[in-house]
Amino acid sequence: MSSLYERLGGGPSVDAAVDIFYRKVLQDERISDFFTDVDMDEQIQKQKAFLTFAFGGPNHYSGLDMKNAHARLVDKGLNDTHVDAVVDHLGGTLKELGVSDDLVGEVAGVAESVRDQVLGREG
Amino acid sequence: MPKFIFEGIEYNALEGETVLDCLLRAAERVTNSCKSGICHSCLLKSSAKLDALSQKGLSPSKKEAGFFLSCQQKAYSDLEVFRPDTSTLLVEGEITSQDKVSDSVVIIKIKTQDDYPFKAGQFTNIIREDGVCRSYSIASQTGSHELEFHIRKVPNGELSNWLYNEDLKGVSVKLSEPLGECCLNSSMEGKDLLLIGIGTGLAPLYGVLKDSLCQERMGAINLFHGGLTVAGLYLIEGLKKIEKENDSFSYYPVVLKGKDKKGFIKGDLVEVVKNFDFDKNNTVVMICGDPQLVNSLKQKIFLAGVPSKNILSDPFVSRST
Repeated sequence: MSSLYERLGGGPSVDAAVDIFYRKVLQDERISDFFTDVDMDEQIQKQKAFLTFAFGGPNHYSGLDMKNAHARLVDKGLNDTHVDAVVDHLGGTLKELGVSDDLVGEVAGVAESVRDQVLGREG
Repeated sequence: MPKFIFEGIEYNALEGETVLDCLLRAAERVTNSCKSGICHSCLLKSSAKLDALSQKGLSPSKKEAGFFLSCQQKAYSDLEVFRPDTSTLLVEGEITSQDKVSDSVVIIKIKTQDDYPFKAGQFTNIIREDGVCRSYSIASQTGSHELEFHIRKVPNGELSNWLYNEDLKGVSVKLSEPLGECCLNSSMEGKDLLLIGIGTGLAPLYGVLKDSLCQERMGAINLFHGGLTVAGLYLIEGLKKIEKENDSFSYYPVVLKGKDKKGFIKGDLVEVVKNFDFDKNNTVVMICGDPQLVNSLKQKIFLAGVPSKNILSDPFVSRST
């Protein structure tokens, strides 16, 4: 069977998703403070990397990368509710793009798999 | 084993090794992160032939300028690569005119000795004889032989005060290679343009405007120029003249402070732009000037529905002391 990334449409589907996803994140008051001060172009690149990862695409993230990348945000109070919101917007984005519920579930599963590293609990 | 050149020094790469991996193995400091061609943090530059993969996802102007992702580029013999922002490629120029257009802005023109290929919207570094150097946007249209700069005198700004105060006609300076991606490219043909300049952030947009008008390939062009007061809008007459001569171009001077004045919009630039009605799906937006305002405007424009790839910007970041 083809990979999740392939079934979702690969790179072009990441490109299609990134603007929708990032708009949702910026407009969500629960989490927007973590993003508003950061350069938008840089953020778009990071969101693309994250979506590529969540879509099961090629990446070289280790648990340690995830932990280090978010350590500053954990210091600022990043917690489970914020991760919940991000996973929520990820699902919402895919549904808007017409992705089936099964695949949305798989993507959410990939994103969930790094929750503990992102929050600095392991890795 | 392939041997390639980085900043003038030869490196021996392993068979199939990427430029980045080889440089890191040789303990060179090259910024990098994902090593997957996604994060773009490992950009280097070359004028040699590059693998398609190492330029995948870069903007057309970056590709044209020879930027590549060193994590995706296989090292091969005779490949010569550089760090992107080195000042190795300097061009001699002479200041040919100096025109104070307000109590803080001077427009200077520099004629270069050699050809200086740049695209309207790019910036360069002006380097004084003693080595003092600052970045300024080029306000000329693509192909000009004389480069125009709009320079604001900043408090304690060594170079800007020199450029504003001293009589410099005939004085030589050096210019670095042009940089920046706040430029039009072929994928933007036929689209509308929304240009937003804050203070001397007008400069790169002025070049882009002149390019667009003479190529007649753009749709409607709307230019917002924001300043603290009317005195800060240093090109009112010139822009009004262009507006009169071109049906497709509209000029909106915006001031934050002062009395209401006919022909000027008074208010916060971000709010004014937010309330401006334009075709979100068919407009290229360029925003230049004060970094905080640029970021804030970019976000508003993006949330209004403009695709991120159609939002270009050049935040004028001040030198940190």
